[in-house]
Amino acid sequence: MKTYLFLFFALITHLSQAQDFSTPVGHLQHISTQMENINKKYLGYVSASAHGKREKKVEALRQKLLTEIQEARMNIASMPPYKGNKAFRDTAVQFMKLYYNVMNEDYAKIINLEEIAEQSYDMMEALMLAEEKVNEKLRQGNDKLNSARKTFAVANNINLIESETKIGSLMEQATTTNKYYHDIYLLFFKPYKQEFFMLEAMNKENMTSVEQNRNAMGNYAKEAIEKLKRIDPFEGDNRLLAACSNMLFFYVNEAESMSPVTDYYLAKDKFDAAKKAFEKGSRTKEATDAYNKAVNEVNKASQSSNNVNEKLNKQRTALLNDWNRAVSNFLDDHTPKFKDR
Amino acid sequence: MVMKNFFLLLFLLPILAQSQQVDVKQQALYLKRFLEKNHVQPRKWDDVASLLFYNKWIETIDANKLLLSQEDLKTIAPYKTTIDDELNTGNFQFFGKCATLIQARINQLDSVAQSILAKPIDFNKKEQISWPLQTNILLTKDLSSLWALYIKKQVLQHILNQNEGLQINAAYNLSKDFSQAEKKAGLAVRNNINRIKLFFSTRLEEAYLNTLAWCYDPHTVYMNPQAREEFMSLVNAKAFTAGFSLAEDEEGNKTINYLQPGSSAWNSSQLHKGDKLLKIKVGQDEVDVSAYSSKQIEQFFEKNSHAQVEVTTKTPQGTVQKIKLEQEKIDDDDEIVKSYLIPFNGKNIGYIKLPGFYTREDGDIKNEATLKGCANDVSKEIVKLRKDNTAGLILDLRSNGGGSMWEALQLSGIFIDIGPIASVKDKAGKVQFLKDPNRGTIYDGPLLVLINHASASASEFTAAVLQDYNRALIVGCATYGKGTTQVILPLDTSSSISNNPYGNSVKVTSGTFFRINGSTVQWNGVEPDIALPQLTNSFFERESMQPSALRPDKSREGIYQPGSPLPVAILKQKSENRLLDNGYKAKIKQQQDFLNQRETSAKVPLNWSEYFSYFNGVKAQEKQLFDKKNSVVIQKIENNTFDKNKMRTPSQIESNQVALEYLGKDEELDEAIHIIYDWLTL
Repeated sequence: MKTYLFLFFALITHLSQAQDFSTPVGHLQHISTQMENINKKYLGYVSASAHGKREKKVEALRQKLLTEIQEARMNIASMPPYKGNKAFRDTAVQFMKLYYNVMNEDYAKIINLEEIAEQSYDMMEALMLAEEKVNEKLRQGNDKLNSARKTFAVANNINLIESETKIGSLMEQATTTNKYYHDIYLLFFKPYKQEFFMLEAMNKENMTSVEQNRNAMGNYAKEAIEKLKRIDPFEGDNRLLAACSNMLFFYVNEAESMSPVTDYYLAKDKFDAAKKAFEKGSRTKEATDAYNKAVNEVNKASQSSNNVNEKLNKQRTALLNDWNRAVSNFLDDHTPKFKDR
Repeated sequence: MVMKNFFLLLFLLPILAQSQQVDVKQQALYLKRFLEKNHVQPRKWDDVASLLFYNKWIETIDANKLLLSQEDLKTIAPYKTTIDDELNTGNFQFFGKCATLIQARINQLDSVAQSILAKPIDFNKKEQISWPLQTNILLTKDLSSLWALYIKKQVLQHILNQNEGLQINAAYNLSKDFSQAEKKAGLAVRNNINRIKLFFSTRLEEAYLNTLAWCYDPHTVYMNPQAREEFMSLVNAKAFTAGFSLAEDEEGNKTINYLQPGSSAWNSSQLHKGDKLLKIKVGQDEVDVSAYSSKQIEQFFEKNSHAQVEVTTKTPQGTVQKIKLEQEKIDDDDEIVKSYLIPFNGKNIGYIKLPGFYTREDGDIKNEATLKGCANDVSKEIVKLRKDNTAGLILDLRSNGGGSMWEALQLSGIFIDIGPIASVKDKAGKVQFLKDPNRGTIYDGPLLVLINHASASASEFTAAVLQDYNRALIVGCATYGKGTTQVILPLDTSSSISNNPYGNSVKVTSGTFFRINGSTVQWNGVEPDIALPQLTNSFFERESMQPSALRPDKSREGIYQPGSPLPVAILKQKSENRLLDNGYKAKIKQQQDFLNQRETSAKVPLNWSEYFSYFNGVKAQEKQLFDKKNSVVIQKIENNTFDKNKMRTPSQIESNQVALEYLGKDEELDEAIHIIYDWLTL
């Protein structure tokens, strides 16, 4: 399932009346209607994604959403200005462009990726920083749009009544669910990724990488546990919190259990040296005993290392399954169901 | 975001190679064009550059000011400002003129030597020579008598060098033994002169090309295929030798140029770069190295492989040592970095010595992540030391001339959590940041890094970033000042080295690296937080002493989070007080005065009894000032617990013991231990 990490603000909607461009209300209305169409497509897409529909279908809905955004943009752009004033119209068009790029994941068109690359330590940080910045842009875009709408209303003596529409409330629910999931996911992701690097390093038996990534994994997990404590259950539902917490405690434990693995690297070096010394030197009883001792030590160390790894692997597999299931259930239960007809 | 493949070599000293017939003009023009294209800051050829070239060239052909008279120099002085024109127009004259002149002089020196050495020398005659020469002799006609004195001095020097500890009477007597010694010395002197002759007749073109390369910067070197082979063998940790390579000057003095990681030379801790090799003994066979070329000595080693070797060396300060080495095949399973435990007043201090930033060859050279070099080895030592509950760690980078930048990046990263480590700038001025390859640290306790004037390149890279992040206390003296990186490329840029292994290459300075705060170690080096009194003179070469060295430049500052500042001021004060109280500062001053005095011209008496006392007087002074035989300063230094019960070959056990003894007398290390202890108990 595609993890949706962006916060989408509920786009402004209104109760519709006559589509008449010649009146200010009509002007406003036209734009609102476009927004509503987009929201519907968005909800349909997110709903299908969260409720386990086939990937092909989900992707098709995403494409429909993209198309809708383009259409909406063109519809708004082709609208004549109201009494020469096109500020609101143009702001809406700009926002549509931004929205399209976000949905299409064309981040390079939204933010300066090179700058982010330079400011970030690695891909992981870059990704998170990029997300943050894109969200920021969306927020700003949304604020601009709202302010342009208010300005237009004031200038044309329209009394804006903010009433909640069905679509509006569905959008809010979808957004809130997504944000909650997103915040917890980030706490899981950092130590998860560190573990990934550590396991890679273990394949190469590279002490430098293993040790550094192990320490980082443990520290990030500990930090995350503290942050997790300050997050409340979502509408009483704490399954996601529980699953994340279990993963984090696993990572902390893993970080502290790894010394048999690094001890094995050292024992192996020691054994190699002993073997060489034994082969070079004279075969006295003392030398033979020392060699045999080294053989026993390295075998023991190897055994301990393998045991630790086996145990951790089992635990990890079980916990990751739990986590994935918890995520899937959470999104299924809390994302609104919607089909755009 | 992809990190460039930075397997660049950051080495210090150039090597002179064996010769080939060279069309100097053609090669010079190729070389100039090549450097214009590939050097990071190509020199503009004008009168300033011409003078730079001229001065270096004169230094190359007549370093001791012995061969040419001032009259001679006057005849070539007009070329001081025309060398750039020659290079720009191709109208070569300077080289030919010098070649003729120098050949003439060396032939004359040779015949003077021959006639003097043909009969016994009169060692009663009260003559003297002012040595070292401060200027060339005024008149050409006086050269012969100068050379006569020089040869006499050389003979006396050889006789006494070769007869350390043997009974030679201060009163000159014509015993059979003495005349034998004189004959032997005479042979050595003739050999020396022959080698100088050979050099001038076969390697002068190469020297010219090297001077041209040097003008761009001191680390840019012209290499013929043999030189490149020799250089590459220094990087290869698998060579089969006793573990060192030699650099040779015109006079035939052989100094240690490089120590191979993991070799018995490296392990013995008594050998250092810059030590002069005097004799080599294998079994009963002893060789006076001054009579032979480096190549011959290498062959001597090859002939006597699998044997234990004893070398007699002399440090730059003048201490003579006899060191036992074993010729071993260098295996990458060998432990190269060593760590030791220093229990001090109830605290355990860890100590790791890293003599070079080596890397290993197994693994895919295109994928640097698979190479496991010194950074990985240091990580292992830290894990070992952790078992001994070390409260502080000393990382020793003294006399570490550099190596793989990738290893330096990883090593720095061991102590830094995340962030950029350095930046590099290419010829076009584009800046790229190099980042810590791994998040996290392996050790985050108090760290002290020891540096000296010979810590260069990758060592400076590491010390700089640890200083900029406030991660380590940097102790010692200002480092070498090499902030550049080199690559080896074929001179014929249309080919590759693998296609054309017989072509000439150039080690060219192609890039510069910068500290994370935007400044550079180039020229200035890394300034220590706490400076220890140290010897400085022309032995202790630094980048800023070379006229052609690149001047410091600036780069962009990276975005990084330094740790909180270290308590430098108070630790510095305590250290200064301590070194005053224990007399160390005063002792260094005495040593410094002695070395300064040796550089100024002294009148060396050339009659036997006076020379004998002069020579022994100097030696006695050296011994008194520099001999460390009974000066243990660190009461307790031992292997870490993990290593203690490791099985060793008898020679390893012995070299371990020697290493521990040697470290026990290390005064700078002793001070570092006190400093870190002060830090821990603040």
